[in-house]
Amino acid sequence: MSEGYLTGIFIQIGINVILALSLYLPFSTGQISLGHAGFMAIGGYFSSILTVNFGFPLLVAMVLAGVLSCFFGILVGYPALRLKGIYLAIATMGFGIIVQIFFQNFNYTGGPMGFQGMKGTNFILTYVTAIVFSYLIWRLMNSRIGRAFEAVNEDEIAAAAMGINITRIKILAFSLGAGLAGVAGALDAHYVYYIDSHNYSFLRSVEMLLFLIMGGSQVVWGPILGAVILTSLPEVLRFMAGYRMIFYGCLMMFLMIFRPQGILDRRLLLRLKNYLVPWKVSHS
Amino acid sequence: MQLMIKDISKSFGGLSAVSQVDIEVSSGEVHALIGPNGAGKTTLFNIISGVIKPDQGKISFDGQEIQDMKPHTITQLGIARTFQNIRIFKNLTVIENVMIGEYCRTKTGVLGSMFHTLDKMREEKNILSKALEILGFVGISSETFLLASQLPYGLQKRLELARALATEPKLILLDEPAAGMNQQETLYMIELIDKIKKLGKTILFIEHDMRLVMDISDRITVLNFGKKIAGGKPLDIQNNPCVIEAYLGKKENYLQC
Repeated sequence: MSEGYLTGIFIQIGINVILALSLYLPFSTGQISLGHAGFMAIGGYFSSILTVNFGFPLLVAMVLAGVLSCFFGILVGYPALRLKGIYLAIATMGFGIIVQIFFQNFNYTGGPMGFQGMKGTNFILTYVTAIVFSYLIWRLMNSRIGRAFEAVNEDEIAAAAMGINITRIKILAFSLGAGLAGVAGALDAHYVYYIDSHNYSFLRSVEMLLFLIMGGSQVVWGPILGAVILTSLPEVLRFMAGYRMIFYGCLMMFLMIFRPQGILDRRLLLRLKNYLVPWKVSHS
Repeated sequence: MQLMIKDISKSFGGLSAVSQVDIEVSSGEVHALIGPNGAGKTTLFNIISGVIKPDQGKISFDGQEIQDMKPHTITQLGIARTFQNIRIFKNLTVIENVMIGEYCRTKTGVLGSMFHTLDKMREEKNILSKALEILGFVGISSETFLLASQLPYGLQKRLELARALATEPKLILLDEPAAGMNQQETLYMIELIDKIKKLGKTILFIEHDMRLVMDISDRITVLNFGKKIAGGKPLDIQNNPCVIEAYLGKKENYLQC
């Protein structure tokens, strides 16, 4: 295994951590998005145009990509407010498909020929971004706003009775998540050098969801764990060749039957924390 | 008059749930709302707290009309409530449930939370200490870090009360605070309600336990089939023939019911 190959895996893990976190944010308020690849696409393409066509530095392009995706998150978030559960999932899936088809036909960004020339994503940039985002989101979830997210997820009516503006909180979570997906899209585009609409398919959205569902959807560490495991697992299991996918699938089923909340949930985290820091006041 | 409910009506399809109800609650009063099951009591609570919009009528709180406001705004104005079927946040810890109650009285936003500013740290400390204080007030301090779902029923009811208190309300709506409780737990609840009254809060509560109602209420309103059939002091209500008829059935025909 060459060094470049290992670095590549690590960069993918880093990007997937950000993607998993981007899905975790709306999920923590009870909003399922099956169209997050759409926000990733917006971020990916927009940042690519900025760097390749206009010579923007990658960091600036990443920030702007995040802002644009965030804005689209608000646009999608508002009508999505009245939808719950499976209906929201299907509506967001629709959004993801719309974005994909749009870029397939949008000639300015190359249409079916795709867009290329982006470079600049390296190990340091990816991991600094991933770590910074992880930290900020961890801080957010352990604060007044984070508690409001969890309250909305648990019981919207009770949360409203606590003085929480449900609409604002849900839009906030959804748009922040969209923004994060946009930044991840920018990093991803500048890593793979060439993007086209196939990069942002429904399967991509599902993949992100799997990181979240498997790693744990209740606490910040969950999506991080899920992204790390599910990105490295295919590589670790490379020796199993064709049977790798079967193992993958079985793992998914096993998890959903016996532990649907994912590997890391609130209870386990509390127990781990109590084990490691018994003298500290412990609240997740 | 702190809370004025005027001519409130609400129908669901063809069914009239609440019909032209007038109630006045003064500041600091303990006011009971009683009536047979299905009389419209919880519906009225839902209308007051903004979960349901009335078909007609007005509700004013401290001089402000609130019948068209959203639930979170009404809570911010100072009305808190508990629910008939407990709606605590089951997957969160006891202390977190109470801390969420303080949401409308605190202000750290997204940026403050993410960047862990000094203001945020100070506010978080206050939130935590206030929550611990409230848990002590309702008597569930020993369960602080348990998940809410791990509490027994009686303590879950107290937790919901603690959470409502955390919103710093002027008026608390309690929906059947003693439901499902034994003698001892009911006595504790009476003491708790009395403690809350001593804090200066106004209490409007729905109850079926008549001993509790007669024991602590300053005034009582009786609903039946969505209509108000009586209102007044406990002694008057006890002897009111319309009320007796509502609960026990007709003995003689009273034209005024």
